[in-house]
Amino acid sequence: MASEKKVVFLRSSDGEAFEVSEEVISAASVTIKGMIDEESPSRADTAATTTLAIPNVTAATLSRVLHYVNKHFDAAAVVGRPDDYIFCAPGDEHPLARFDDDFVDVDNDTLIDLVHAAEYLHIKKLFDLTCKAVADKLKGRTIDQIRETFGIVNDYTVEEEVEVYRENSWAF
Amino acid sequence: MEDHLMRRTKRLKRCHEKPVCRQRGAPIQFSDLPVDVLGTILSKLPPKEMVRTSVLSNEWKHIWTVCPKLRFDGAAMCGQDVAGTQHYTRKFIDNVNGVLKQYHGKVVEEFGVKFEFDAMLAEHLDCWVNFALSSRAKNLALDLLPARWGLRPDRYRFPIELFDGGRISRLQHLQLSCVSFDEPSSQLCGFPNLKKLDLDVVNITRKGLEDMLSNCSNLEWLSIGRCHLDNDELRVHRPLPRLLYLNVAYCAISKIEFIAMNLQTFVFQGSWINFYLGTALALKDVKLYLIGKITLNLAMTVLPFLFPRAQNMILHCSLPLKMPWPQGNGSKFSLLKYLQLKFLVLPEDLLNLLSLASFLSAAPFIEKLEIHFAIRTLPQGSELIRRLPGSTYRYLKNLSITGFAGCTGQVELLLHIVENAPNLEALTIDRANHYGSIEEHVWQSRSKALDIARRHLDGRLSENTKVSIM
Repeated sequence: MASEKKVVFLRSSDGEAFEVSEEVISAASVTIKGMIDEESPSRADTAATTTLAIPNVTAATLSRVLHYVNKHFDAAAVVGRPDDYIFCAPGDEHPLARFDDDFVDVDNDTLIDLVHAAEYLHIKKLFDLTCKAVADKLKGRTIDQIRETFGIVNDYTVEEEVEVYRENSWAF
Repeated sequence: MEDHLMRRTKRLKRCHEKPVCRQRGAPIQFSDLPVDVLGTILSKLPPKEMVRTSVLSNEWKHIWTVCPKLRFDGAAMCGQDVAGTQHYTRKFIDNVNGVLKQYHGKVVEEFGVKFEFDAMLAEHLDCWVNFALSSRAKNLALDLLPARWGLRPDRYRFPIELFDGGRISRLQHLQLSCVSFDEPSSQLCGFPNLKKLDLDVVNITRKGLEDMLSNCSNLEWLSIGRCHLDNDELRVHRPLPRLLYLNVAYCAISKIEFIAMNLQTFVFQGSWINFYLGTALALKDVKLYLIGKITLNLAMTVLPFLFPRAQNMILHCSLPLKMPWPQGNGSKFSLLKYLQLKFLVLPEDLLNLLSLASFLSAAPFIEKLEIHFAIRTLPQGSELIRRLPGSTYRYLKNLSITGFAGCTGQVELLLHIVENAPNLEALTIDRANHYGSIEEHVWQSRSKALDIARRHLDGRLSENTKVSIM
């Protein structure tokens, strides 16, 4: 049975190829689905497997992304609907919540790479998850702490800064 | 949507030209991220923290103003002031208007207001809803519940006239609390692409609600809470083929009728009423939190008929019991694997608890049973244990009883199940919570209850059963 399932290969920016079920990756990634659809007329008459180049994503990131995709979008493995969160009753934990927490418990660089990859591959759930994880790193910090941690230089003049504070005074 | 796609294409092109290469170990370089990605990141922050980022630097001043999610929460935005005062409402209105004035994003995917409704707010809410709709909102949430209930709290009149064709068809999630709909009019035509609808304390007539729901044919998730229909019946005649989740809670409704052939989860809270859910053969999760009494007979006759393919069931009720147990009409939960029963034991039923075994005989494939007793009684050392002829519960692997007080009825039920469940792998017994008694006394009766459990179980369990008595 398994051999009948169509697979595609994704080649990372550093040349490593990863095998993934066509069905699963099409459900997950709008970008790759688009690539597959473009390829399909020429594929019909050849038995060769498709290899798609993913020039913006390194092997390390791509393998993480595929780990996520297989967990969230493989219908055989999980509930796997793109918006299945809405079916959890209030107070129920999503079955993959734990997996998601662990998945984004990584260093900053890896996290930003994942944001880029999710954005480029257009995987909405992963994009939301990784953006949320970045936001959690900002949460509860003072303005000075954020500037320091993320290397942001305050280039306001005193007058400008006062004006911005005034405009949004309710938030401070 | 087109705008969105165009923006995407542009960015993708740029990505191709400029592959990302960064030095490992450097701090997060936000400058690598496109502005709308940053906007999405900021939208995951609490609103105050999101707006604060405007003081970081010139570059950051406007980033939050394109974020695709706007939520305005009174408590979070005007925290120090006293809720309910005019000043408080005024301040909230000014703050929200201030934010909207700076907002630059083209698409607000999610727009939400959480504030105690005040008549002063009405015209502003109309403007905000209009803003959300013209910003192509997919999710709209208006939570206007008062902190304290007056006699007749004001409700916000839902501006249905703002929802014309294009706008209404973009809406996917709608959450309304403490909102009222005008008398049924031809305008209330439903939301054709709505997937999730959450109505709580909504003033609407029976006809209004029926019409609305009949025209939400793409609904996947529906919750109706505290919407009083004066004990009238709610009948949605048109099928809701995509409905997967239905929750009805504390509504004064005498009957509900839906045709939801693909429903998976049904949650009901309130007094027992008549349900009709069509041939909901996919319905696998059922949660019933019932107020008032239903009889064991009714439960055994009606529930298997209504939910024939339920796999997981939670039933909270106060159930007058009867011995010998009712056999029902022979209908079974032929797929039920998990059952959680929680109920208040009436004083006259202390000796009838064995009749609860009727749930087991109605569910021949049950694997996990949890019984939570709310019970008030003292341990009894009676040796006169009645036994009933029982079928074998060969699939039962996990049994958990909490609120075990050690009374004879509980011992009988426990022994009946244990002796007829040859493949039991785990048994958990938790003591009863006595409320309001002297501590030492409580401790004594608890340990006595558990001693009774141990003594009766001695030699009756297979060595494969893992027992925990707490």
